[in-house]
Parts: sequence; C-alpha cells; structure tokens
Amino acid sequence: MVRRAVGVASFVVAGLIAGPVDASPMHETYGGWGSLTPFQARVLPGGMDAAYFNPALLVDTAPGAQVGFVVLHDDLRIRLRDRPSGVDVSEAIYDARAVNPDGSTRRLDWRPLPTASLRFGRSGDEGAGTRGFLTLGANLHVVPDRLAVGFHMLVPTKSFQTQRSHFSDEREQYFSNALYHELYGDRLETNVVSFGVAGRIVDELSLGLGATMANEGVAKNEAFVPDASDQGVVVMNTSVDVRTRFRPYAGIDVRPIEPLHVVGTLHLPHANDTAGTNELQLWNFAYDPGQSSFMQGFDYQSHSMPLRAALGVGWRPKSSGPLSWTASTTAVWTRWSEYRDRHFERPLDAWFDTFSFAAGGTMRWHDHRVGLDATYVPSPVPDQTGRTNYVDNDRVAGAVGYALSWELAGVPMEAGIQLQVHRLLPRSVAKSSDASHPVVDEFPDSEDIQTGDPIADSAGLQTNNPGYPGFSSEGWLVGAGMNVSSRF
Amino acid sequence: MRLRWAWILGVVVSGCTMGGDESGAAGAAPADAASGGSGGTSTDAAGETASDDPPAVEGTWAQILFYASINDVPAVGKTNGSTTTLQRVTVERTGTSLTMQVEPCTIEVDNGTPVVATIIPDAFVRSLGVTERTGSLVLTEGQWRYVQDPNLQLRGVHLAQPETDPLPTDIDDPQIWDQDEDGHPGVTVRISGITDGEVYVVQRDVHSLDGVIVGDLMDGLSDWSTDQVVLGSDNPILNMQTSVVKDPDATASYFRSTRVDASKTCKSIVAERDELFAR
Repeated sequence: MVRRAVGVASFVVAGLIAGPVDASPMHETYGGWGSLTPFQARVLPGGMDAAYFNPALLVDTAPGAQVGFVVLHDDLRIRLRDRPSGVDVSEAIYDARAVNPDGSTRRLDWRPLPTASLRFGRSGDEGAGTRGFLTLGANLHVVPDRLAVGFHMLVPTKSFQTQRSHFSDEREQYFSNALYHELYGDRLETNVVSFGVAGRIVDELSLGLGATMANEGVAKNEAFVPDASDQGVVVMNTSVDVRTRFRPYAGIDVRPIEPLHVVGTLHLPHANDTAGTNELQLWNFAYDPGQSSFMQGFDYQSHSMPLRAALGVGWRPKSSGPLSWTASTTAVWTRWSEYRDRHFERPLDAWFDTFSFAAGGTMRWHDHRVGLDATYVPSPVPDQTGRTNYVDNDRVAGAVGYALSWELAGVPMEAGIQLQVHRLLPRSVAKSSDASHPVVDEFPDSEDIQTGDPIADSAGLQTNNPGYPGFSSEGWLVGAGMNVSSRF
Repeated sequence: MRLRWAWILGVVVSGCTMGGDESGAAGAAPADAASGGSGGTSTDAAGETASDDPPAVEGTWAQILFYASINDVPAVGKTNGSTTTLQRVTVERTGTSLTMQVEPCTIEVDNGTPVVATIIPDAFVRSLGVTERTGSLVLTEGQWRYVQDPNLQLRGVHLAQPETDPLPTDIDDPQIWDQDEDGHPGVTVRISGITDGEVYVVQRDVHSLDGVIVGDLMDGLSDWSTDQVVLGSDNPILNMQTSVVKDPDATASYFRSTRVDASKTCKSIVAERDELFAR
C-alpha cells in the first residue's frame, strides 16, 4: 500500500514540476535512458520511459519508480571552406541600384551588409559542450497485469529549456554569421514530460496511449519609437501567453507466438510554437488609412519532431532459470519532409523522409543484466549545394548497459548504468550554381545612385552566406547515464 | 511652401538654386554680406576704395549656394536641413545689367538626420543644363551689390502659368515630362539610408541672390521658395507626406562666389571647393 502511495505521489510530483515542457528530439536522438538498450525502447520493456516510446509496454514494465542522472557531451564540428576572392560585399552596396537587363534600375533585391562590417566573422565550429539531466519515472499497475499508467520526465540541470533560433541561409550574416548542426544543439537542451496508459486487451495484445506536453506561445510586443533617429530609446509593452498542449502517440504490442513480440508506434508531430506580433508606432508618422501602427509578425518553432511511425520485432522469452536473454530490432520512419525549422520555414530543398534502424539485446545472469544496442540514423538533409546551410550527418551509435539487482529491506531494487557513443559521419558539401535554389547574388550588377556609373565591386557573385563556398561537418555525441529503480 | 511627400527633403529645386557647403568651407554668411557698405565709397578687403564705376564682374565664377531649411521628417520630427549647390557661373555685363549662364555641378541634400539621405543623381543635375539668369549691379551707399533677379525654374513639368498654376499630381498629366530621360516621369531623386528607393517628382523653385562685391569675391544672402509634388516611387513608404520650409533665419541661406579662370570646369570646382569657398 505504501509503495502504491509512493507511486501515486510520484504522479502528483510530476504534475507539479512539469511546468513548461518540450518536445521530444532528446528522446528520439538518445533513446531511452531507463533501459539497457536505449534504441529498443519501443520494443523491449524495462525503463519508465516506455511512457514515451511505447506506452503499450507499460503493462510489461515492472511497477515501480526510477530516478537517474544523465550526462551528455557533444563535440560537433563544422569546417568552412575558404572564400574565393571577389565575393565580398563592399561598402558600395549602400550607394547601389541594381541594373536590369534593359538598362533600367531597381532597388536591391537583398540587403546584405558590407562583409567587412559584419558583427562576427563567419564560423561553423560549435565546439564541445556538456550538460546534465535528471530523470524521473514511475509506472503504476492500476489493475495488475492489465492496466498501467506511467510517466517519465527528463529535466536539464541547467537551463530548463533552451531555444536558440538561427537562419540557415545568408540571413544569418546579420546575427552570428555561423553554421549550426540543425538537429542538435538547443534541440537537446530541453525537458520532456510524458504520460502513458496501457491496457492488455487480451494476452496477445496490448495497447497504449500517451502524450507529451508542448508549449504554444503567443507573444505581442507594442513598441513606440519617439525618435526614429535615436533607436536607443523605445517604449514597449509585452504580453506573453503560454499554453500547454498535449501531443499524442500510441503503441501496440502484439504477441502472435511466445516469445515473439511485434510492436508498432505512431507519434504525431510535436513542437513548441510561438506566434508573435510587434506593433510598432512611430512619432509623427502618417500611416496608411485604417492603420495606427506597423505590424510585424513572426513565427518560431523549436524542438520540433515530425510524424514518426515505428515497427519493431522482439524476442522476449519469459525468464526462467539464472540465464535469459532478449533481442529485438526496430525501424523508425520519420516524416522529415514536413520539417519546419526554427523560423517555421520549410527548407527550400525538401528534406527526405527517413528510415532508421536499430538492433540490440539483453542478457541476464542471476542478478546481473547487460545490454548491447546499435543504430543507424540516416540524415534527412539533402546535400546543401544551394542557398541553405542545414548541417546534418548520417549517424551511427552504439550503447552498452549494465544493471545489478538486489533487495533493500524487502524492496526489489536495481541500479543501472548506460554508455552511448554516436558518430556523426563526415560529410562535405560544395555550393553549386546548378543547385535548384542556388546561393543568391546579394550584390547584383549595380550602378552608383549618384553618378549612374557601373559599380565594379558588384560584378559577378557576391554573398555573405556563411556556408559559401562549402563546408564539411562531423561530430561525436557521448552520453552516460545511471539510474536506480525500485519496484512497488 | 509645404512639400508633398517624401524624404526628398532637400528638394533640389532647379538645380541651380540652393547652395551651401557641407564641407565647412562656407560656414556662415559673410557678416557684411548684402548689407552693403557704408558711405559713398567703401573699402574692400584689400583696402581699396570702391569707385562709382560698375565693377568688372564679367567672367567665370565658381558659386556655392546654401539653402537652410526646416524639415519635418516622418518619425523623426523637425530637423535643420539644407541643400547645397555648386555651380559654374559665366557673367556678362552691359553697364550695370548682368546676364548669367549657370551650369550646376552638383547638388547635395542634408536632411538633418542620419536616418535617410537624399541623393540627387548626376543625371538629374545634367538634365538641368545651362540656364540663364538676369541681374544687375546696384550701388548702395558706395558699395556695389550683386543682385540676381528672382528666377523661376520648373523641373519635370511645363506650366502655362509657371508662377501660379498648381503643380500636377496625376502622373498621367500631359504637363509632366521626363526631364532626366530615365524612363520615369518628372525628375528622379534617390533615397538611401534605412530605406531607399527612387522618387519621381515635379518641382517649382524661385530664388534670388543679393550680395556684395569685394574684389574677386561676391558673397551674400539668398532668398528662396520651393514647391514639389511626388508623382510616384518604387518604394511605397517614400510616398509619405512631409514638408520643408525655409529656415526663418534670413542669414542662414547664403551664397558665395569666387572668380575663377574660364577654363575651370565643374569637375575642378567640385574638387577644389574647400579652397574656392573658404572665407
């Protein structure tokens, strides 16, 4: 009864501290930290994170609670190719009008800064970083062996949630002027809270439903600029409305013959969305009829994951004797073609839908268990030969785990550790004028606005696209986790 | 005096009108400019006594006009602006009657704010061509004065009654013509800064000069008024209405003239402006 109360209390605690929560790139990248085979978390029960990966497994997961700690280390590398001469944007851009084929002129199509005036030199080396997470999960069998509810949460030890937007084309010149791995970085600095419920319909079939929490924010900034020539002074009001949304998913576990398990999961798209408007008022300004301010809209999306569907096959003999083992394989289809980046924009060159594959297994010997797992995750990002610089790599990863079971005052306990190593396979791209969306000539052939003379600096291609003329990327992700579980 | 539209605050009128010196060569109107001297004879800077014979002003002059204005810039407010014109003036004299052939060299506009700049393209300046002015030499209390009659210039528009007909506002008005031959109606002024674009305008400018002659220098004050209509732009925000009025300080708008060799071209006048107009 006490254990059950602890379980219920765990749910209450989860609800209290959940707060603003986030999507699931963290889980999809590293898998489950609560088991010995992280990439088989959709197939093999074990960790409380089944509440996220496949809630149908909750009825096969021992009731109890689990706490843990995870340390992640990223070493992501992007090397930029040297820029050829003549592609810098000169100061003459400020006194230029683009020349049309018929000799007339037009306003510049792009607004690049002179290359020498950019705030930061172009860069791509994200370097290394380390961060920690706390994990907490619980699984409660409301009806033993028939109905289970569970939750799992992953909470960063530093920032509760990080959102850093960047542009993946020439627009980043105004800001960091850098390239970033699109699917890592701030996407992995987030909390994740998941809830699941599972029912064993018949002995051969279990179903599960779950949801993770996401944010949906609406921001409105009202600003008044008393003097447009003194941009250091602005009077501003801000309102922010953040709502919690649940992003559902479902799982199924079919046992056509013992000990064969066939599982399937479907996770609906998941993201934190922020929609905002700036209402900008200027002093002594004649707006268009019906207007009283300038409206500036913006949309952000962070930690997004598109639709995912997975199919897995597991061999899970029931334990008998001192030795037992499991094996499984998983394939996950991810609809990356629907991906939107941090600015809620679809990549100009559509991403690929991908299939990732994983295979692993566990072995138990008396109170000792070990796990071995591996996965291959292809990149959904096509070669970035054009305007955009979404940096991503094919990834292979391996994981090993070990767990020791014992009893503490009559309570079954287990402590486990897990190590993961991910290799982002080297990739190199070069920009091409034949790309479907080539790098834009930000300083087209132009004439001087005063004299009408051709501007020599504008001849040919000029761009501040930080990815021009190409780049290479690779990296390592290393993670270690430990956890302690107790059964109710 | 209210100008319609645009960040074209400096109004460029007539290309041969306004003047000044952003470089600082001409910092302020001469203290005794236009005020004449004192007595029936006067003493010039070289200590010579002016005679009753008209001075021989015929010849070639480099001239700078500085028109001080109060601009009402959208989102900024009232600013002190100016239009500076450098020009090459050839003076012919018959007795005390003067005829001037005026060739504008460059026109520069200071809107009084770094937010946006008004650029007068060379094509605009060239389209102004060489125009004729009339004036006279006037002896006042022993001091010869250079007086240029009020001169009206229309830019980009023909009017039956230039002094009184309103400037057309319809871009299809047949009175409008493409003076600078850039394919757009009227004359084209360009804007750069936090926003940019071309603005197509028609203008009417009236100005006169009144100064004193001291050796090879003719300096004094200018009086001016201007009217302008924006016909269109390739940037809608530049259709914003604004206004430019003459600075009420009558001494703020002035001109300076320096006799130069007839071989002196516009290009060299612009290049040597600091030396030519230092006082």
